Amino acid sequence: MSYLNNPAIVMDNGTGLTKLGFAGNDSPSWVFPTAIATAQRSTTKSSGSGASTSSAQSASNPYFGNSTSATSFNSLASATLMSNNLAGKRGTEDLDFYIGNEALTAAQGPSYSLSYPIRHGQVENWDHMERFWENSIFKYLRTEPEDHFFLLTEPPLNPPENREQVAEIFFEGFNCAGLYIAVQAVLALAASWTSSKVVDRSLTGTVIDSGDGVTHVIPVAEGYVVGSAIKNIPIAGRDITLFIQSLLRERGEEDTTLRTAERIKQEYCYVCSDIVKEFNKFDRDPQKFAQFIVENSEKTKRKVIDVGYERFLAPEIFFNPEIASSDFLIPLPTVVDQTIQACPIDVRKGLYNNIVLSGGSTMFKDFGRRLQRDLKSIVNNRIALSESLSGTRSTGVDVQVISHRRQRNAVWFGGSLLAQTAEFKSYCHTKQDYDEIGPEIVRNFSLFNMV
Amino acid sequence: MLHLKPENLLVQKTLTEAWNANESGTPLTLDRVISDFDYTTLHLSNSPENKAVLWLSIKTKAWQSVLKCGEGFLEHLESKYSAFPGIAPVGPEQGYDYTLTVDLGQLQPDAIVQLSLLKIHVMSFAFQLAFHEFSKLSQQTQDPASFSGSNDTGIVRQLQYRDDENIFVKPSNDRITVIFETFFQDETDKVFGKVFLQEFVDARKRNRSIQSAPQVLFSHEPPLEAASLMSARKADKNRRFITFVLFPRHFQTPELQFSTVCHLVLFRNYFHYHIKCSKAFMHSRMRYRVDSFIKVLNRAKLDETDDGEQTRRTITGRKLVY
Repeated sequence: MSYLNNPAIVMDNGTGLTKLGFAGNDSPSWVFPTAIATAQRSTTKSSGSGASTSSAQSASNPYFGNSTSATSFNSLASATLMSNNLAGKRGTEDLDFYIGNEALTAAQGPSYSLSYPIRHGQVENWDHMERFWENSIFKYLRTEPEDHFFLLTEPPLNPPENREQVAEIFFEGFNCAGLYIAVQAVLALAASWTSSKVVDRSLTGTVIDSGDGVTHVIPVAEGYVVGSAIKNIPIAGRDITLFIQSLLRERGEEDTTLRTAERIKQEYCYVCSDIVKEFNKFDRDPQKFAQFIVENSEKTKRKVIDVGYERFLAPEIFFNPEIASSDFLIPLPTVVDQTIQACPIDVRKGLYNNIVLSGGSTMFKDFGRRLQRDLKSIVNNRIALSESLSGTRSTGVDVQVISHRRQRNAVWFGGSLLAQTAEFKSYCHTKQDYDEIGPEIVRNFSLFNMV
Repeated sequence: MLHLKPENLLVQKTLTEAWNANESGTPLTLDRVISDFDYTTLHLSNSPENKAVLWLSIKTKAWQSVLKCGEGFLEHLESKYSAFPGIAPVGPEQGYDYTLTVDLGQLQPDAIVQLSLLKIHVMSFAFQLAFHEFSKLSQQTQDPASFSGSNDTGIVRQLQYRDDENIFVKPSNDRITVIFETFFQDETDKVFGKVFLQEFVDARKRNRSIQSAPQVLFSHEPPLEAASLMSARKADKNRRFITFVLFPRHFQTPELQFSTVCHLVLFRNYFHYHIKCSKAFMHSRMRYRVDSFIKVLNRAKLDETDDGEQTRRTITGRKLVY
């Protein structure tokens, strides 16, 4: 039973990026796009009869769909080698794929097509996902799944059928030693325990998870997600980047690529306390304007790009969405307040008291402080109103937004934190349990209670 | 097709990052656990005094049995790294078997690859001894005066690389026999494994083009070479034995020796990866089948009557469900 000493593997498969690593580390070992490049058009089922599809694609080489494939196996596989072999009876396209950054590179060539097996946080294409996991475990993490426990993440409101599918793949396909599936929001809460502001390690709080595509506000009460109250905001990292890009274009800067806009977002943007004052500050003090220099890969040409008001205007679209979009007009603090108000009344205090940020788009300087201030004023106004209406004194509500250093990979880090504890393995379902009971075993996981 | 590389990609990536950060003057703070196949754990951390000096520690299941293989194991490991400045062995870190200090200031980029091969270098010792012995034995055979009549030394080295699984290495005067003892925890794996192994054995017989590959044998009974070591332990029906017979052409030059060792050490992982791949293929076939059955079932459904009062539609023509 020496697998008990091996570090557990924490895998966070997000819509955009996958974070892989070992429990106990402070950052994920691998972060790459959740993309897979397969050897044939993704519209044809990968499971389609190999021999017939490949011979249809290229008559000259009856055994392989893509003779230009760069993989070492195919270049070696002459027809004579394969003709009598089992592999000659059908194609081996199912082995010919790349994941992550390699997939992006491979997809630039003609013979691979790229697909993203996760949409909106949920697995859409199980065939691709299974192969994605296969390759990430063996090639990138270099582990034998039989020897390790796994902690996987799922979005809130993931249907239990999806969990069962995951369990089938991990227990029957990979024979993993043990499995725990955690909700991302709960892990983000656990990650906030590293902040000095957190005094009790409770699993009650509101998680604001803002990645590239969408921002979620998820209330969690004692480790359980309050599903009915979850709210989504269609403003996230990509919208900020596009907004910066549009500002650069309006000004007619030399380089207005998405990549430049993204770099500017990451390096220069911050949240201000008041836009009008900040505009005045910029006008009085030209020092505030920055310059961003783009060099081409040979470092021969330089383009200088001025970075102006977008430094504070870009993150401002969370607080005043009307400056960027006309579809969605509710500011983030109001959405957070509505979310918490939709929750049962006995947990609301805890939810206001512990608002946790997670994801790359919450990394702007002073983002937490601004959110806390705006939310506090909303809450205080309501308290004042109800006090004047009822004539009684309120005990007050404490609003606290917690920022911490691990925000970018908060979900993964929370997973790493929980999976390194000694109790973790007792919370997992093991292969023996699975063989005994079946896939429905993963419908329930006992929660971590660490007080 | 996955080609498992002998080097550990993660060690390579982490060291490259640390090296780059050190070059730009801001050394990283590192405390990483990295794993490798077969109960191997590597630990990469800053040395207590200096951030520019890293410690790379390894703990592996095979360590004890490699140590028992013969004299000079630590010297063997040292010789692998002595050519590179900035890498030196130190006393092993607590909980690990072996530790190297890596001075990022002196590290050369090509040394990073060698560091990521640490596990292979540990395992290669047993094979290296066998290569030496082979050359000794083959010289004896050519020189009849000293030839004792026996064509091996009777030494079989045992590498316990997993809890229940061993590699046996036996040199003789014209070949080196490597026997893998494997054990399947899962019934399905056992079936897949058998098909694969049979295919391994048969491939060489059928194809002239791969005649130069090592001969592969597969059996349920322990081969005679390993039988003496096996008899001490309980016979188990689930055990399988895979024998590779290496001929001199497989280990003539140091490069060949290295690649042979890499392939042998990674054999089990590669084998298991492909069992998993075949399962994934089976699963995708099953999903495809289920999909097509569901399509057939859906055809049997009656169309809902579309009377205007009961179904309300949106402007795009979708039905409102309420």
